[in-house]
Amino acid sequence: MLPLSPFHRLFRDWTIRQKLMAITLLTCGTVLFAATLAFVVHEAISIRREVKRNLAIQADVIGVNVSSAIAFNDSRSATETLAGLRANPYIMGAYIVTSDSTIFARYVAKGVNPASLRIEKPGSDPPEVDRQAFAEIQADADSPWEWDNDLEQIREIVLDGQEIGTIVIFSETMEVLSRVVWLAGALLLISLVGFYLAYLLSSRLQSLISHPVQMLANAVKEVTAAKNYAVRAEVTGNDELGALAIGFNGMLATIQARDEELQDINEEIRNFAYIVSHDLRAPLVSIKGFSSELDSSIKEMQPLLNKCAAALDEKERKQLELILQEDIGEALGFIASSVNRMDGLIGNILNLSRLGRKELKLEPLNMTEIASGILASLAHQIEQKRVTVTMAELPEVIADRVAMEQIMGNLLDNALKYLEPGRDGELSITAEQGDNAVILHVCDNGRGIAQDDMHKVFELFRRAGKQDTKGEGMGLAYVKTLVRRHGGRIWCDSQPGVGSTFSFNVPAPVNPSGCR
Amino acid sequence: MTLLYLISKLCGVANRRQVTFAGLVVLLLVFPVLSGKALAMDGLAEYEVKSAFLYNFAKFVEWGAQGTAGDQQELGLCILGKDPFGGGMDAVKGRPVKNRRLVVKQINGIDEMGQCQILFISSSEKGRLSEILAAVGRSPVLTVSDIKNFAQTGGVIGFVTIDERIRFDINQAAAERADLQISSQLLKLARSVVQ
Repeated sequence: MLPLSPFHRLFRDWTIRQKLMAITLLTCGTVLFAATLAFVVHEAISIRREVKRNLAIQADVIGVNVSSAIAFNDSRSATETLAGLRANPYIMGAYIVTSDSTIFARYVAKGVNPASLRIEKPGSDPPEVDRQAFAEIQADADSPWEWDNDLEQIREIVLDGQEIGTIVIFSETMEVLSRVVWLAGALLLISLVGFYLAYLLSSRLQSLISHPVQMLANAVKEVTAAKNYAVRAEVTGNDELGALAIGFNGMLATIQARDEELQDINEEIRNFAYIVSHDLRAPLVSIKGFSSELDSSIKEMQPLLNKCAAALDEKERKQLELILQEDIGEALGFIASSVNRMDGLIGNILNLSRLGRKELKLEPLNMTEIASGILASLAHQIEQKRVTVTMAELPEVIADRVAMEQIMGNLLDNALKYLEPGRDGELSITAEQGDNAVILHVCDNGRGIAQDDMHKVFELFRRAGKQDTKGEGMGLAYVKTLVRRHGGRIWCDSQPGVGSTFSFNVPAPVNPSGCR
Repeated sequence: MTLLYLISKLCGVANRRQVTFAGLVVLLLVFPVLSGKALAMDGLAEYEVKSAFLYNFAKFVEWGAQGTAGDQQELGLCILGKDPFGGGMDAVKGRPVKNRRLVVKQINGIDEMGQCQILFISSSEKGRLSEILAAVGRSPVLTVSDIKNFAQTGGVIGFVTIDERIRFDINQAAAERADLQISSQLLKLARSVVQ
């Protein structure tokens, strides 16, 4: 993946809606700004050109009007004519220069320092034109770009085809500038209105994209949070987002179907286990009944056989006796014990499937009370095996009372059962608060479980380690089923010869005060 | 720099007020100097200026159809009486005016006025002025003279000297009689215009 630019990082966590708005408004803003800037620059240039053209016209008009004054050397009249420029507040000054570079007449606006106009040679009397400055002014006047503090216009005064002088007009750039500022202000206002319109449009139109995405996101949230596979995303159109929604719905439909199927199968298996174990008992009862029937039949048969035995020789009599006394008895004994064992196994399976099917009655439970009750019932064993029990204050959980008693009972019973012989027992019950759950630990200093056997302990009918105590390998299987029924998990940490810790979590009240 | 200037302009930095007074003082000092150039005129210089004026008058006067009927290449400037210009006319002699060439002629009598568009009446003819003007009558000729009250007497343009500056009066009625159109530019410069 490419590294994100700071620009991308800035927008990364914005919503689609915000991103779309940002994209539109940024684009619009940039275009508006660029267009406005270009227009203002263009207008500034053309306004400048227009101002210069107006200056040229004014200069020409003055030129015509002062030509007679120049011809008749009447500088007073020329000065009066020039003074008419007063009407244009932007004109800083004007000079009429005769062909011999003397200043014939001049007008300097109020408040303008003649020196700032550069044209007069300082200290000359009669005033003369500074030729070098004049050349610079000429260059400025000819330039289409030059934009210093003033705009100059130089026009020749022609009388009867002869050049008799030059008129130089200086105008403030302010005229151009103020017009440009006005224009820029107006354009800014128009741009703002345009921008606002763009905002209105984009805030409406962005929903074309953001709405379907939002719908899809909501559907995904519903599916993941509530595991509700029945929700469907709204298909808003025939575009890619529509295709995405259709695909998403298709996926959900598949998952929903599979989920239902799995639930059905699960149900079937539970029922199957129940029915099988239930139904398997019937033939077992028959076997049990008929084997005892067989036993009593043989017993009834005994006197008759004894009579018959008289007719047999010694060797045959011995064989019959062996069959009757040992083989049949032994076989019947095996049948009986096997039947009993099988009955026990089936009973266990039945219990387990009952546990899986039983309705849990969830209620707030005081675990300290439950654990204390169980420890009290085990007091005899604890005393006998000289076990030190430590128990912290346990928190409240929400669970089924019977199930919790079974879980705690099994774990504590196991802990006492598998203590290391010849060592004083130690047993501790602790708890810790996890996310929305309480984790309970039952810790002993017993014989421990080998790493290889660890997976076996929770399995049905499986036992690990030395088989020196009575047990069917059912306890932890029950515990595991019960914990799982509560939506929890059970696990074990153990070290052979040192001890084991069985931990499980159960849902806890999220907030004791009841506020979410 | 330009930007700084513009900003200062926009902000209305009032440096200007300070220079206003200085500007006015400079103007007051310079103005008399400007006009002073025309003041120091005497003797020959006076007639040099007058000759230039005569030449320039031609540029601001329109002759009627009759007045320009003659030679199309030349514009005649005739001097009647004693020539006061000395060599002063040499500067304008032959120069172009209205696509013609200025020709300067010395004439001794009004009867020689045939090819003249401008007639300068020398002050030597002061005594015969009314006679001459009567003789010119309605002829399309621009009469000019430095005889006192020339324009008021019936001539078209009369030179006057005021504050040692050469100026002129114009007799509009006389100009109309001679079928001459005098440019407003010229009228504007006249000391007085006689209707």
